[in-house]
Amino acid sequence: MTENAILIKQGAEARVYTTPFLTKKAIIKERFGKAYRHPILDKKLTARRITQARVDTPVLYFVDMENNKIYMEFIEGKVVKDLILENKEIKKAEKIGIAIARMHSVDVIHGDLTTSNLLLRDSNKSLVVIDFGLSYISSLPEDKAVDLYVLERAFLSTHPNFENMFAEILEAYAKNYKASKEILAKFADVRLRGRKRNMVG
Amino acid sequence: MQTHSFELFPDRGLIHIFLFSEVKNSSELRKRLLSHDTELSYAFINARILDVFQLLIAINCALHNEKCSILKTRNINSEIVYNLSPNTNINEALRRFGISDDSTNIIVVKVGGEANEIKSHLTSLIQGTETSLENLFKFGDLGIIKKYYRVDNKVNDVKEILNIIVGSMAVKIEITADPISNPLLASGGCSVYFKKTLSKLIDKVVKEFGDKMILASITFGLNRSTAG
Repeated sequence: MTENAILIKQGAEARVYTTPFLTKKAIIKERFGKAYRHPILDKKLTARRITQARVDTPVLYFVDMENNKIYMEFIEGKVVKDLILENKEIKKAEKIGIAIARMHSVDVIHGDLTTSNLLLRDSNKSLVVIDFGLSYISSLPEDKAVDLYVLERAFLSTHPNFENMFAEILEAYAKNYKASKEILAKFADVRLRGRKRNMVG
Repeated sequence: MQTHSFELFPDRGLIHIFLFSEVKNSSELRKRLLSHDTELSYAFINARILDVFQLLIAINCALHNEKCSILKTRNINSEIVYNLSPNTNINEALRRFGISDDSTNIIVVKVGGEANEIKSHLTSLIQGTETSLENLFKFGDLGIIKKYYRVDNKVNDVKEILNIIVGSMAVKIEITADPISNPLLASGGCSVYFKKTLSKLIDKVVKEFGDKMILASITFGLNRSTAG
């Protein structure tokens, strides 16, 4: 790694740095968790799908499998969580709904949807989805419903006064995703029972 | 000419990039490259790429592979050309991104060395006019670029196209698998199709038999992770 890399976040499984990289500013995400199965390999397909679905995500610059590092675009923007907390521009619900709809339409499950993982680009106000560290590919309505449920939980705990906004997100999601009916039905089930599946027998 | 230093590979020195237009002896250069003429230890690239940044990404990848001793091709120069490609077919990569007999605009990359020396050597090698890399956009062929990188025809913003290109270079994939990211090769993606069908099947059964199914799935060793 370069000497100019600056540590900006230290987590349990990864460190995040900013660094100058090939004429641009970039983010480095370094994984060091040991139980990390197929570090980056199986993320490749996810990355491709996401681009095809035209969900705005940080551009991947370089994947260093030897050192478990991913180099990606540094996004000049604001975290949706902060925007909501500052009571600003709450009209983002539709954008969020559309982004999740597009993501799910190519069977990508984000796995950690929270308002901290959503950014708003300064340049064109586009909604950027970040951190696909827990993502996986699945076509099961169940998994997509849980994805929505995770966002709802995050929403209610960080922004208790913005229940309407989550309803708007769901509305946009339903409108922009043909197969959403089944998923929203599942979502209702998931809401009743929580994230974990019932285990009977 | 442009000179770049690569943050991750300071030991490798400076990397020089030249652009030549109106080149007349591409077929001769190509012939010499094919016979592994050591005088031509440069990467020769067809100039119909979109942006210098695209090239920088490829060079960075090539330097990385060299450092980790995992070069997929003969040397650092061919590795640069190879890394411009979004997939792992070496032959196709060299054909598409290297120079061909009728190339008139070419990019030359030299890793290390002294700029002026390289320049005078290149002017003796290449019958063409050296021009600023700012002219690169004039030689880009958007139609071909979109085809090579499988960019959706609806996408027309150059910046967005560049992002897609860079992303697909970074996640260079084996030609197989994913029917969604690789629609043209869907027929080769049977394993993914199989998985998808399997997961749909499981979902259907789960819906019909509910919780009993979970017991059954455990018995049969089938679970969501094998299907997902």
